[in-house]
Amino acid sequence: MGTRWMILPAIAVVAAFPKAPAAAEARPIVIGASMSLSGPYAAGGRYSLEGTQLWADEVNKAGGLLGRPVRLVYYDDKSDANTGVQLYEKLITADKVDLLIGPYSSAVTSAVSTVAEKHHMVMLGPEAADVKIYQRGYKYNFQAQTQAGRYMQGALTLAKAHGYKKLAMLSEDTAFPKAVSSEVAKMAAQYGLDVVFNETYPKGSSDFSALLTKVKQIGPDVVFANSYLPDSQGIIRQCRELGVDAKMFAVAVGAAEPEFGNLGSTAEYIFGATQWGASMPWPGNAAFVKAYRQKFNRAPDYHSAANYAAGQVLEAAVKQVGSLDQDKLAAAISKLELDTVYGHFQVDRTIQVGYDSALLQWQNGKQALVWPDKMAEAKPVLPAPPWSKRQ
Amino acid sequence: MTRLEILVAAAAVAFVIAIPLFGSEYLVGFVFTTFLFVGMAYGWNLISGYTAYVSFGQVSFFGIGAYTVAILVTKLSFEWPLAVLVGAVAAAALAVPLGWAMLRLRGPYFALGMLGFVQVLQMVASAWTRLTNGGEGIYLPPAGSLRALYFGSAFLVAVGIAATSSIDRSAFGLRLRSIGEDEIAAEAMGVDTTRAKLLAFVIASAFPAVAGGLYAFRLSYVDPASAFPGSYEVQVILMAIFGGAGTVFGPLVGGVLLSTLGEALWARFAELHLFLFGLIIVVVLRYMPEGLIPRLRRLAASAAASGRKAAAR
Amino acid sequence: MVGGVYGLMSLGINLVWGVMGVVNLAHGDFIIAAGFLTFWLFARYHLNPLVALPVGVAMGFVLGALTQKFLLGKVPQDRGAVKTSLLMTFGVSYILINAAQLLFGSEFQTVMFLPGSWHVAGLDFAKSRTIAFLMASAVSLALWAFLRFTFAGRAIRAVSQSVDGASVCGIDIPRTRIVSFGIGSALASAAGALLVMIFAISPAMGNGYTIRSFAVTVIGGLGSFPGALLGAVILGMSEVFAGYLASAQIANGIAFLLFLLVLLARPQGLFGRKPS
Repeated sequence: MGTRWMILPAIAVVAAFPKAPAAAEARPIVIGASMSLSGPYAAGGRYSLEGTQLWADEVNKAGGLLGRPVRLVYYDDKSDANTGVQLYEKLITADKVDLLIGPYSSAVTSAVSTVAEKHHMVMLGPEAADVKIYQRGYKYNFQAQTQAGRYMQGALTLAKAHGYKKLAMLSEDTAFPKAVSSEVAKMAAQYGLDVVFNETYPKGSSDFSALLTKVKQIGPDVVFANSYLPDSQGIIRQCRELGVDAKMFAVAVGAAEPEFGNLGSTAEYIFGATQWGASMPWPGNAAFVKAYRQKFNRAPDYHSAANYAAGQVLEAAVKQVGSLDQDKLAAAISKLELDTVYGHFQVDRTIQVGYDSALLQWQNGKQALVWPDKMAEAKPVLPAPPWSKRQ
Repeated sequence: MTRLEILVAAAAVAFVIAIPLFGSEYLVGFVFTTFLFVGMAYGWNLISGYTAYVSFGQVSFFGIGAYTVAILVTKLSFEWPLAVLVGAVAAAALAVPLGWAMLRLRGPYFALGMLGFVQVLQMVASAWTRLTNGGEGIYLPPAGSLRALYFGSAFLVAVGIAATSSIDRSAFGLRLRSIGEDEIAAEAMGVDTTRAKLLAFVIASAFPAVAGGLYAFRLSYVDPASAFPGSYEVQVILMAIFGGAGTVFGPLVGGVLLSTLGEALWARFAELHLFLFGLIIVVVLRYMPEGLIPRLRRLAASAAASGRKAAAR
Repeated sequence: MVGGVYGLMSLGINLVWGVMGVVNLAHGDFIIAAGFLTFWLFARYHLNPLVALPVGVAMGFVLGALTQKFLLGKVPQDRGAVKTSLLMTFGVSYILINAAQLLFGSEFQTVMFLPGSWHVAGLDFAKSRTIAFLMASAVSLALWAFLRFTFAGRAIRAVSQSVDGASVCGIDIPRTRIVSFGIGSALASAAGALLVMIFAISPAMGNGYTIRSFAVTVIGGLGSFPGALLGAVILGMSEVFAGYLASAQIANGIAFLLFLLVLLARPQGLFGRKPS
């Protein structure tokens, strides 16, 4: 009878798993993370990973943490919250990592935060701008990225300065973009703007023509795309193809990525939120940029800097506490103030209040920081010429 | 049951109980997930293994179970075991009209229809934001006890084995098999194929719903993408086919073996993992379409036969 | 205009399903895989996507022919055949799409070939979509001519009408099947190469396009050429209207909804023959 065959699976399972975890003789401090290395968030995810890797390298070059080398273990969460959760469970229970770093995107971080909290492990979220994640009463999760509400401040300020009135927004239907759009909607009146269009599209969309046609009919002054790189590109491209004109186009994520330049002349005049620039005078920033270029053969973007900074915070906390005790680390981080390459790190309860945002614009095929004035490299060019008049 | 069978069954039960007592948390999590898959494989086996109606609906009911639990736990403060049961009932309730509509379609149309249905459900989950929070998803409170969930999944498997085993031996099972062999002839012989198919379909829908509910609670997060994970479909079907569709222990054997294989691959080599599964499906269908257990049984039988022949000479 | 590309996808399905009664679940994945190949050729070797099109088509043909020859063709033609070949193509879909991911990466990719649009009579025609539409039409026309005027084409039509009749006439059935599956996949690949010029694609979309291709075929009716094209237009327009009138989320699912409705209410679609 079939019951005999149950022996097979039983043997397989027992063989695949050692009885008890081996005695902890691992000297390196293992840091675990999942990264979006494929899927819609892959572009930003890769930069994030590199930032963490550079930090780990530099720590090891300087003699390690608490006298021990640092080892990074990471997996690809495919930009998927579900996969991320399973990976963090694996990192914590199977790989038995000592420290955690959060994944890319608010959506994945949000889902994963529960895992960290459940296992009482500290987790910094360097790629999670959505404040709601950090308002759930969790004690071990800390925001290490600029709040979503601050992302579009630069764009809003410029819009007000030029007297623009009508604002249209498209957002991906996930945590971060919706956080941005809801914060902007709340603030719009302060900047003299009227939100005339505010709709979402499902994650992974490629075709925005239906939404953009609606936008075109309304004829806004300003268009915000609250999106990640692939959709930012798609939306701007289709604005051109459909002839959706506006005086100002700004995207939440994507313009800061060099890949955005693949749009060619279509990228010209587009504004993008960035939380960091290579020219910003934060301590260690210039050295960071140089080292990054040397190691990865390309310039870092703000995601890399954010992750690098998260590493710096973790390092400072561990050194302060002198151990890997998660509860003590949580207490330390909640009070820590540090000037990282990304800016001034400071949390209020667990929400990030130190980091701020900036704005860049694509001019002559290159990114230029245009706001805030004290850090600007160039002046913003407004309004954007109509698509039909561009080459 | 023969004495050997009782012994093996007792050993299995002891093994299942031992795991959370002596194993690492990771092992328990792994076996939990494996049991979910095996449970789903049993569900698929009931409808597709016996009646040859290839259903791609596992993921649909999985998602229904997941969302039901998420909504009941967060909005109505249900306890998870009750929520999971309600999820199963919800899935079965949906399966009745769905099955009645779908099962009227012949072979490939039915398969396509179920495939399309998942996408419709995803669309509903994304659009019905009042209920499901749309793309943002629902956050559940952290799962307290993995052990409790684990036993829930083990229970699912037990029910699967028991149900399949009793159906397999019953007149109902015979009717299902006749539909699988030749539906027209079965009807001609007086079998109420519509009723039989529908019943199998509805029962089958409960399994993935329970799995989905348990899964949602463990993950503490549900969104349209994670509630309807496309890759689960291929894994579940492969497990059932590999072990032997239409057998009582095929899904269990196939499930455990393939889950262990997948475990080594899923984190580090995700694409390779699914590539391999696709490859295995194709190879199994080409060279061993009846599945592992029937094939081993045949080998054992022919070995015994040739042994007897040799002895007789 | 995307409808043109949908039409192409559906023709592939029509051919394979009509001629061989095989439901190819890997269809969408052929589309995406070809799209990725085109992208890769463009990104690595700066190959003009219109030139890459025949490359993708050739690859599709070869893979399809091989699949038929070594896998589907060997399925015993008994009552379990439908189930087995269905599951086999299901397996192939996973093989194909994951192989494409391993080779070309899993990110969203697109080919920015012709940004911008032409302005004709007050309407904006996106260059990339227009070119894609024209190419799709050209390929469809070529297919029609092939089926009408060449011997292989007529052999395919003969087999689709009656297997026994065709074999009596001396037509090599297995070979015809191999050729038609190859052509079906080639058509899918062509569609993919064109699609990547218009949109960003990712491997996860394979399933969605499989359903869309079948939706178009079912709406238009199996076995009907004009039906496929009409079905494509209907689907394309419904997606746009749904997005416009309702929301983007609904537009995403409209293909499947229509598909189910047609399947249930009128399985033969607009012009097709009754399903056997």
